[in-house]
Amino acid sequence: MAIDKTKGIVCKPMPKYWYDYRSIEKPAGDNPDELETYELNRRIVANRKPYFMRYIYPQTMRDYKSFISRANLSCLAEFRIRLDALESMPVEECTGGMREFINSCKRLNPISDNNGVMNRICRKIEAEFAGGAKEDARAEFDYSIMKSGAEYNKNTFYEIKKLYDRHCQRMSELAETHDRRVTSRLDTADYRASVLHKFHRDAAVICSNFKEACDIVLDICYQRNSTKQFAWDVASSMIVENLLEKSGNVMAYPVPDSDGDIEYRGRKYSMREIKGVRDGYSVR
Amino acid sequence: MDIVLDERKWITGVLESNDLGRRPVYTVATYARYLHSIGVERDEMRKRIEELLIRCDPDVNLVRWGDRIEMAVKHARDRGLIQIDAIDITQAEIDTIQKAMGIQRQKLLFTLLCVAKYNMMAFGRTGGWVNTNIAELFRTANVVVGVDKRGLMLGDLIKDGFISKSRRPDSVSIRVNFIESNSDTVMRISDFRSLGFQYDNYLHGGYIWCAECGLIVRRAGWRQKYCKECGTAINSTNTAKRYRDSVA
Repeated sequence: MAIDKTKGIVCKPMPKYWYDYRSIEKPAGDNPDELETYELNRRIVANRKPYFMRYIYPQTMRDYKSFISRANLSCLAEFRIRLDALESMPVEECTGGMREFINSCKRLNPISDNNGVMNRICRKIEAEFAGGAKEDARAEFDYSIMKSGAEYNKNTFYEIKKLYDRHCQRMSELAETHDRRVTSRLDTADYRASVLHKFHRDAAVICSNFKEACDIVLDICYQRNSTKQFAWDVASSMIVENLLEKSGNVMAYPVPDSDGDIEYRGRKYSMREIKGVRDGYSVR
Repeated sequence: MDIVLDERKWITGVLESNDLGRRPVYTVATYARYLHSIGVERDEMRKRIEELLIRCDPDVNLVRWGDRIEMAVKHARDRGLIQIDAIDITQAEIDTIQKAMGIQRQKLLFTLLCVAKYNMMAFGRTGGWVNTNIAELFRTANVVVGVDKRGLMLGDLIKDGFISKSRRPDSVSIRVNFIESNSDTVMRISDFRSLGFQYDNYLHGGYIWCAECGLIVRRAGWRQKYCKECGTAINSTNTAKRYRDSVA
């Protein structure tokens, strides 16, 4: 609605009782029609987003995950079983306390997990992709192929690590202070670009040798279980340069191919090579 | 845990170091309360907060900070600065904690007790309630267990009556049931980092306080003076200095 207002579109706002439980006023008298309308409004109030919308609005996903995590902790503390195990227990095996707990969770859940069409489609897609991401994460990766092998001293490493820590602080500040609507992606990208640019400037003062700086950044990101995006943001060109040097200036990449020999997530691919990438190229 | 016992001393340190720290919004809010405490008016307060932000980060985007600065200035008079010397832990409380089964549960109880007492002294919350994030609580208690085990441990402590939990399923607020201030003080907590280690050190010893940053760490050797991070940084600085002196 705020977006439409900015564009100059005048639209009537939704009545508050459509989406706010507390705005539904109980009728003063005993008029049966008014009481029936009151009960109907309470039953159909749309005070929560549906289940599938957590994939559209990042804040909704965060609220839902936070709720599930806290409810799971409470369930373990009270009944010594996980929340999903409690919800799948047969009703006849549940005690009064358990039933009350499940009902409270349904009432307090920030999303509406009913059996609507979109929610069912969403759950089907989730089941299809369940477990895939974890399998990928478990694969071991030797990141030394991305390094140039340039030696650096520990002082330089610690200075750049300090810059990295300050960079992470700025990024978490960005997450904390930034508007979480989908339309703010451009602002987020701009701010991120300016923070990365600052990192480049400060790192160049500490270490003017780009190969050393690249190796240091790779060690910072890959030696521990932290995000690797930072390494690719600041040193992607150097990483690609190092990989090309180690592969004899040949770049191989997968292309979709129904007769391919590589299968990944239900699709087939085959490898195609480009020789002489840095000098102009020919495709094999 | 990012608990500050003496906000006046802490903010003075921030003004000297020009570093907003891990929680820049909290730093700005505390600075606003500090300025209010020394009688600075609202317009001047805004100007000084902006000057601090620029000193800490010359590339700061003040437009993005606008709302936060306004909130900080608006709420500057809500409460004064927290100035606590230390949190006293009594013998009766330690005796109660030692009744819990296992050192992990005891460290967790000790951490909960310290945070509850801090809330009582800093904010006047008399119920013994703790609303801190559970992951942060376990980290400060130096108790490393899986996510599910945390819930089970809390359940054990609730069953034994040491703590109570909020009835709402989505709330992890915990109430400490054994605060007993009418007993002899045996420990004074002035640092809220690694509370679990501080408790273990009180009972069994075997820890040192880093000479550089003051963090308590498990002793790895008889001559150890620093924590791992400070030790590595100091060692590399000294090594670089020795190398420079040798080639000079």
